[in-house]
Amino acid sequence: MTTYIVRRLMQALFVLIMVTLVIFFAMRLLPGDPLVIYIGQSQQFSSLSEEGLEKLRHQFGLDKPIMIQYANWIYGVVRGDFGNSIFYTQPVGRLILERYPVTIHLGLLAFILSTILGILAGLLAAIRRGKWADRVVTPLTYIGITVPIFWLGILMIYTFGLKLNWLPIIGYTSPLDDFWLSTKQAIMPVTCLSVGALAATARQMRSSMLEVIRQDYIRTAWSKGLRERLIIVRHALKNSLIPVITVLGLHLGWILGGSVIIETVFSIPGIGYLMVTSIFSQDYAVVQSCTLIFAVMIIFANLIVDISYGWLDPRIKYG
Amino acid sequence: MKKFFIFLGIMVSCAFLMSAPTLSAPATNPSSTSPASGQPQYGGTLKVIVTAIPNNIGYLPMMNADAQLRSCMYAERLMDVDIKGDLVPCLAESWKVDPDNLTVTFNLRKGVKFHDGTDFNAEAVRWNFQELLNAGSMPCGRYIKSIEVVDDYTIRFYLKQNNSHIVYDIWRPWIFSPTAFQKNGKDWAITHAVSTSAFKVVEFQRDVVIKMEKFEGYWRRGRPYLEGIELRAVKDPATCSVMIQAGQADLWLQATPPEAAELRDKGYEVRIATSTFNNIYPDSKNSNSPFAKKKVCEAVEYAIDRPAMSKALGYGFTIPLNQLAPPDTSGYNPDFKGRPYDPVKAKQLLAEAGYPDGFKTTINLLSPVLNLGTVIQNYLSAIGIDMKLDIADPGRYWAKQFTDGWNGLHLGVAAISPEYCVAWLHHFGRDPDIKFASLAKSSEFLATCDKVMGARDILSMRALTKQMVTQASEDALAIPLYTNPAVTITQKYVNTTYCKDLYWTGWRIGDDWISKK
Repeated sequence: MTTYIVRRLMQALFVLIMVTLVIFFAMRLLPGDPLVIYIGQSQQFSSLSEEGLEKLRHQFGLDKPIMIQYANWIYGVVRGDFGNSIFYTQPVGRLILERYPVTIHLGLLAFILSTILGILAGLLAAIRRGKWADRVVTPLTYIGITVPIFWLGILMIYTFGLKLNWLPIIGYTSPLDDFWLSTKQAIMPVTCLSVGALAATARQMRSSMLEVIRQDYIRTAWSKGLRERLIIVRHALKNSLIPVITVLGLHLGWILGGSVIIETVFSIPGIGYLMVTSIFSQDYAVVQSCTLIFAVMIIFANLIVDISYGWLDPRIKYG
Repeated sequence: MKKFFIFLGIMVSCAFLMSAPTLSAPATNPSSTSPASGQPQYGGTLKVIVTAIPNNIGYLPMMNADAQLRSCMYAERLMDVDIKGDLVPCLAESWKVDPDNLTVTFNLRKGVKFHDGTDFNAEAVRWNFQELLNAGSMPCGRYIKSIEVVDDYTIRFYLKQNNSHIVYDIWRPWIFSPTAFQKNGKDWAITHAVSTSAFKVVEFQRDVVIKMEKFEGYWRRGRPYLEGIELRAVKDPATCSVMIQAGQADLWLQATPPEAAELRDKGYEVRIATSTFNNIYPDSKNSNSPFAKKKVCEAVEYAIDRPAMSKALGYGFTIPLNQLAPPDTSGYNPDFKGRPYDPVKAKQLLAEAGYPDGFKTTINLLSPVLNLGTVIQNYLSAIGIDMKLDIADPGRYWAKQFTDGWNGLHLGVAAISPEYCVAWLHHFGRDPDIKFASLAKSSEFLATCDKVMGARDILSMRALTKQMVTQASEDALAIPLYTNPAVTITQKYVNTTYCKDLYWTGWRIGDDWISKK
């Protein structure tokens, strides 16, 4: 197992290097000077002279050759220095530290919610196949997968924020500052983030559970007279989770990607919100660093998923 | 198993219902709340929403235009500009422009304190302007030779050459405490605004909120009326609109026109100011381009029905233009007829210019104005100009405008300043700050720009400004389309001076109050 983990980490390092190369050069291939955008977007009253522009260019290291810029950035990342944001005029590391917990909090809630409810819903639909539970859950999963989350977000805002006035429309509060306010503010964005993953998990769970409960050993368990809860939980569930665990790793990427839209709709100051602003401003350092962090999170999530196979199925051995 | 799922369902429903208690005030219908009237009332917190809040609230040399716009809530200037565009005293009680000696002298208000308790004086003003000059981001800084502190409350600017509107450039910078900056440094100053205004910033969360409390030591006695202000960033316009209707926000700054129109129709109070105006800029510098010929530019102008376009796309907030200045500005010439919609004349001009069958061209534009570009495309297609839309990302768009130049047409905006010639010269003058790389200017037009720069008083400057803009319109320097509004939505219980007393880039927010609901 240790050898397997080390090998996967080496592969992860290679993937990360490729990610840094792609994102670094992709951003710089985009036409336009980020400093010109910075001035242009504020052209109403901006009056930065050529001299001022050159000073800024030097300050952000944009006057150096491109390979030197890449080397400087990588060297900085290794030391924990992600560079300075042109748009925010702050160290990128500070910006990420401010935003990261927000996205993690909401993303983790969405992930846990979608996993637990998705597994339960799929389980219910599978063991009550053809009955009313299945007839309710299955179409809901189709809707969940297809509904655009920005539309769902606006619909929820309209319904729960305006018409019913039950929930605050925007904002984020840390649960450590005010737990109830934090919970109320999180309900709508977390629901929107989790819907797609929940539906996909439910579908996968239903499908794999249906396959498992047709197995001979399950029929034997029924024949022995064991109770339904015992059969499902002790014998069927673990075996049907293997394909579900696989898609959970993908759902993390789904949720992180969704955070870009949901944080914009609900004005939540997370990494997604930061990314949107930075992409439009061509704020190289921020986009590069945020993308790198997303890549690291997804790689490690998938590594954990792969390792968990061994726990779920003892027949799987890693060399 | 069945009982488990029933139990789970009940738990989820309970959790949902427990979150139902009202968090904020009930949804407001503007007709159900009494409008603000009568005597100002003390108390209350004004909740303002805007699509983006500044990243820099206290260090002027690095502030972009959006940050400078929002600073009116927590900073002050030497002067304000009233709704007619005239300078009025604020931190400076009076000023004198001496074109013969090339000086501008300000007499500052006494007894004013910064939020950190230090004195507002001439040295503080000098420091603020010197920081801007050192950073190269002072408007018209190249005209300023030096700044002298004459005494504690008198400061003098020495100019390199006469500049008729220098006072309007000195008007623009906000004044912050040099002591706070020197004590804490630049990084601190970016996130802390220490000024002289009615409200001091007590909390700043980037991209989230700026919270302000009233400053007890404010120099205008009896002000402010409000206890505090919350300026919150809400990126999505639909969300902003819902927040106003739900009563979770009191004022929406720079509302998007479609949502603003919907709220106007529902009875919310709307204030409109003109912020910029849309123009089509031809690549007239390119001798190979059809747009190097004036008749082609005139043909484009005749081909577009601007009143109809403004009505269709402006939601009632925009004004169609027949010249390169909106009405009610000093550049506007009521006697200039312009080139009204006349497609027959447009085709005739094209034929005279040597394009009887039209030609192909491209227009660069940003995605938010795609509708406008499409409408223009249709109008030009009717006279034989096959125009392709090139929707550029901001990087490519601004590079084309500022440095690389464009081929064909460029759909852009021009800013409007309270003294019209100021923004005009910044955009189109002989030595502009906002560059249009492919735009040609006639020698007659540049001569009028020089006259404006050399004017010796405000009245002659304004008269010359009108001539300058008329010359540019006659030259078809650019094709004017319609104005862009800065729309503000307020709840009826909010009594705000915004866009009432001062030009829309200023705000005497200490005079605002909320009537008790």
